Amino acid sequence: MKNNARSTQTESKPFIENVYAIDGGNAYLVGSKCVHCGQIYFPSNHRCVECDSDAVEPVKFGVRGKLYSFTTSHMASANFPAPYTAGFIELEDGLRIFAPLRTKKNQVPDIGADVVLVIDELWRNGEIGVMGYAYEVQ
Amino acid sequence: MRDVVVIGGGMTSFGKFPDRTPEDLGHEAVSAAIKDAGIRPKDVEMAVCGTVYGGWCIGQRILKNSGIADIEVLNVENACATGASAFREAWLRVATGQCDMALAAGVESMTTSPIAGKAIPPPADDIDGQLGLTVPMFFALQMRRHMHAYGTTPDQFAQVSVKNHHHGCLNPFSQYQKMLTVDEILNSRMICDPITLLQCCPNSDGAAAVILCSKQKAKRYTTQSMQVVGSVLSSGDYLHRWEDIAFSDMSHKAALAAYEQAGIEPGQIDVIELHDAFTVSEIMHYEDLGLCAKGEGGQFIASGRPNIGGAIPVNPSGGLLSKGHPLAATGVAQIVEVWRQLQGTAGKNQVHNPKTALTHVLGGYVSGLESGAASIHVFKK
Repeated sequence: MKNNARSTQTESKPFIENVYAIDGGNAYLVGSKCVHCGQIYFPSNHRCVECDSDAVEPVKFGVRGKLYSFTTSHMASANFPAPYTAGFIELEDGLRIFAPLRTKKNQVPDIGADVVLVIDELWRNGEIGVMGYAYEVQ
Repeated sequence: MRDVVVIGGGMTSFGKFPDRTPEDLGHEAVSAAIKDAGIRPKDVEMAVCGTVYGGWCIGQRILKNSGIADIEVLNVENACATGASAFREAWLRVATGQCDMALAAGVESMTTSPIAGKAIPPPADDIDGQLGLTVPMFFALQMRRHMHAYGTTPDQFAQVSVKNHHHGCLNPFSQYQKMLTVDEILNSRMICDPITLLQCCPNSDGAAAVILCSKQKAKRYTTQSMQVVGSVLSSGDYLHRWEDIAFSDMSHKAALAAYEQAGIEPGQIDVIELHDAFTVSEIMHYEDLGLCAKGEGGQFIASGRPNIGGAIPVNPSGGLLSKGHPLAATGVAQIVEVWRQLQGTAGKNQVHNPKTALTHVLGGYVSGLESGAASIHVFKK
């Protein structure tokens, strides 16, 4: 490669390890699920608090859900300049989680809208793209 | 357990005082409480004090300049519920007979704290924090959900701020003493939509202290007293068990327990100081404290009932929104306010002839739980 050639591949890393996965081109959240009662935990844990059992196993989930609430922050936070939009998602698996939202330009979401999991670059640390999950409003 | 009464209380004004140390603020509140109770410093047998950002041994530091040292001092922290937690512990020490007279105090200097003017970065393993969840964002999500689920309007949320700023004008200890209109509130700077700046409590400095005494011994000092008839402190349950983020299960459970201890129905409470960190908070707490039905918080503020002069005055002090919110002081300051209200010494914001009161705080965002702590106290004249 010549010295002035630019690589189109930037280095990237997940914002936190083991909370999402890409499996055969499909994106999932990674949590744990109780073998006995089916309660899902995110992030993963080692014990089911519902039935007090340590029989929890990894689970891939969280592909689809409905928008439970949302807001646009006009204050920056540690990793996001203002404005940025995020919300609570009621996943079809039953869990409700917080996540950044992706909307089309000028789209104002409705509570109850269908959302789909995407893996995206959320912010940059110098040369490194920090990857994480978000939900795209359909 | 023995009957316990409050026999005195004192507080600083709340505001921004970057030239004042926590020791200085705390000393002012403690001295005022001692004077109000008509006791001598050496009558205080033990003390429970709290601060969130004010450093170690806060109790010892604020007591020493008021002539109190060489007694048992416990220091506590429960985020915004610190002051009420300190009060509850002091109450328990007297109720169980460990001592006859205890002091509870809370002090906060937010303008000289590590978070002054900046946000603390979230821990590296805090998923939601890293993904941008901040405290105002959490409340904005509750607010939008409340509007969706119950039809509460932006005007109704703003009316909470109108009411509390009006009450603040009548309270010389209030950080803000400025009347505001619904338009001014809705058009103030957007923080996290739909929360605007004038719908958020400010950063504040201040301190408050109360003196508790066994009911039997109190007669030696004063004819004025206010009895503690309910005391509850609870923690948040797991987030996955929280059905409706627009209804505080924690506050509701704590309220039910407090009313049962007191043998009182919500409708029999004459004056309330509750945790209005944001306008949405007060609307929600009308419901979870049982002042109105679930979802009817918007109608409740619109009815005028929680105004001074209304059927059940809420936050006659101006609340966190106007009076201010020095984190650890707030819970104790609420108790100082209802103490004055029940004794008839409140001043321009005096509620007509109250005989019972309730104070409520909720706070400390903890990832994975509804919230950190909730604490409710019920008082009878």
